[in-house]
Amino acid sequence: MRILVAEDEAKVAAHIGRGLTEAGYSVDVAADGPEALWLAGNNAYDAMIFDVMMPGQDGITVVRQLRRKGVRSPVIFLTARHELADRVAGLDAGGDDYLAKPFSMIELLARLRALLRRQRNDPVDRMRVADLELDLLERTARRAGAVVALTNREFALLELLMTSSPKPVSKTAIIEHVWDQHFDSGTNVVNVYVNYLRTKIDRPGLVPLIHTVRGVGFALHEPAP
Amino acid sequence: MKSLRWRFTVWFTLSLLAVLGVFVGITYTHLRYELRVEKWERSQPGRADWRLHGSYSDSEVDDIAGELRTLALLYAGPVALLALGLGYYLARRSFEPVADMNRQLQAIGGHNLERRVRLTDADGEFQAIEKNLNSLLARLEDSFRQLSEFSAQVAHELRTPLTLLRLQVEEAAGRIEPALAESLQDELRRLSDYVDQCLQLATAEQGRLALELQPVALRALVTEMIEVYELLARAENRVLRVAAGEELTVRADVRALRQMLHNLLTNALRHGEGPILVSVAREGSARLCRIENALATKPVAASAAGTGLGLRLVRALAAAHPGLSFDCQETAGRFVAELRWRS
Repeated sequence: MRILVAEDEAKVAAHIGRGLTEAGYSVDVAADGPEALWLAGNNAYDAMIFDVMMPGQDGITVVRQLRRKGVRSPVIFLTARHELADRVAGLDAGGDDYLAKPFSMIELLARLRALLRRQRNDPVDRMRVADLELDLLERTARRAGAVVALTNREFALLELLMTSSPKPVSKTAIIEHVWDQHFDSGTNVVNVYVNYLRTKIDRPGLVPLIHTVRGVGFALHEPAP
Repeated sequence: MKSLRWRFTVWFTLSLLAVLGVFVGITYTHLRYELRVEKWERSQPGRADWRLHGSYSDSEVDDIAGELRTLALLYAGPVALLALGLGYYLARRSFEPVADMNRQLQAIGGHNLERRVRLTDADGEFQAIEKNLNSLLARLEDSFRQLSEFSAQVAHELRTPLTLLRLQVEEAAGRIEPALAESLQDELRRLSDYVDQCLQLATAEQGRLALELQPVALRALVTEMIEVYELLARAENRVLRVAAGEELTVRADVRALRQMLHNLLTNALRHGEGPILVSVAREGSARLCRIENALATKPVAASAAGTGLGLRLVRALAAAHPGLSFDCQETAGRFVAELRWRS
């Protein structure tokens, strides 16, 4: 999977690049609008990540030009939260999703995965860790073959944990992904929710998959042998 | 209440009565003098050579002067009333521009500082006030805009370093002391949230907020949102109760409405004590969402006290919605916040 990242802040771009590479994507970075335009015009990317505010040409203008040239790869815009005018302009320009700055790498990866999934338009899309299986189209979960009934929030939480598996997900990233709001002492809420999820996924007699990583957050993986 | 209008009325009446008093007094003394001292002479018709001489007796003088006095006292009442009415009318007319100016000034707030005071056909003195007030408003608008633009700029600039910080802390989380990593991430999220809210507030107060208004099922939204606040309340041994009857549809931007409810509920958790009551109800033709709780008696920790940013944002967001008003009151130790949609 080849991804284009257009971001004028070199350090931010480097971090995104590293995060994506670690997740198994190959990454090209453009530092401004014209460079992004040139790269996207000459290479086929599976997805593109565009900062809205860039010197030269802003992200929205570049994507609009690319769409006119027939480049159809899905785009995630990085923008200010709540700037709805930006959001609408971005989506009209052919953006497929947007992410508010400052964002978490885990969230970016989750969005990217969802975007690529939609793009592929597979009749089946499943994630699997050990004997836990998630059907993203039917939005159902199965543990050891048995269907587990989950609320929307629990499903979103499980999806995030599985997307980053076996790496841990921070509590703040969980709050952001599941509620899209900040809570004072909100980490308690995450604990409560993860415990709800635990009682449903790690039922007695099964190998526990959800682990607490102290100070980091929660991780979903098979226990180390 | 001390009112200039009434004072003017009283002054007018008193002056008129004083003039009347002087007038009657002079007439009275002059008449008495004339009657008592001056003698009269008259000729008899048909007898050109006859001349009659005479004067009034003391009792006759007293009688005539007394009548004058009684008469004066009799019409003093109606004259005073007339003066009072006339005085009030004149005072009210002269102060009409002041009342008008006050009405116009009251309608000017942070969201419409571009408005100016207009007085038509006012006297010179009032026109001078109007001119000075308007130039004051212009200066105020200018500095308010600058401040707002500045805070938007700062919030914007802060996003890049914040993004970097978040990405770096996230990346390094496995390598630093766990408790520190968690606290850092939490504080960073809090900082980002403040920056977001500042930016949103500046945008809303500048009137640049683009809202996507659509029909929203209020009860469903509140019920869906409330779950997490119930958990947070329970963690503090408090109860959050929802009283919602029928489903009510309101016109709003869903994200903005969520933000308003979030700020109000966070406020209730942070500054309140005891149970929190959330009600969704219809009142006449209005639809409303009300959040009530008792105010905390113990002082709130400075770090949790906040800056009033949350409520200010709710106010600004509500003002951007047509037909939506926001009101909050502290009475008898209770805090009541209300979002109300006029139909």
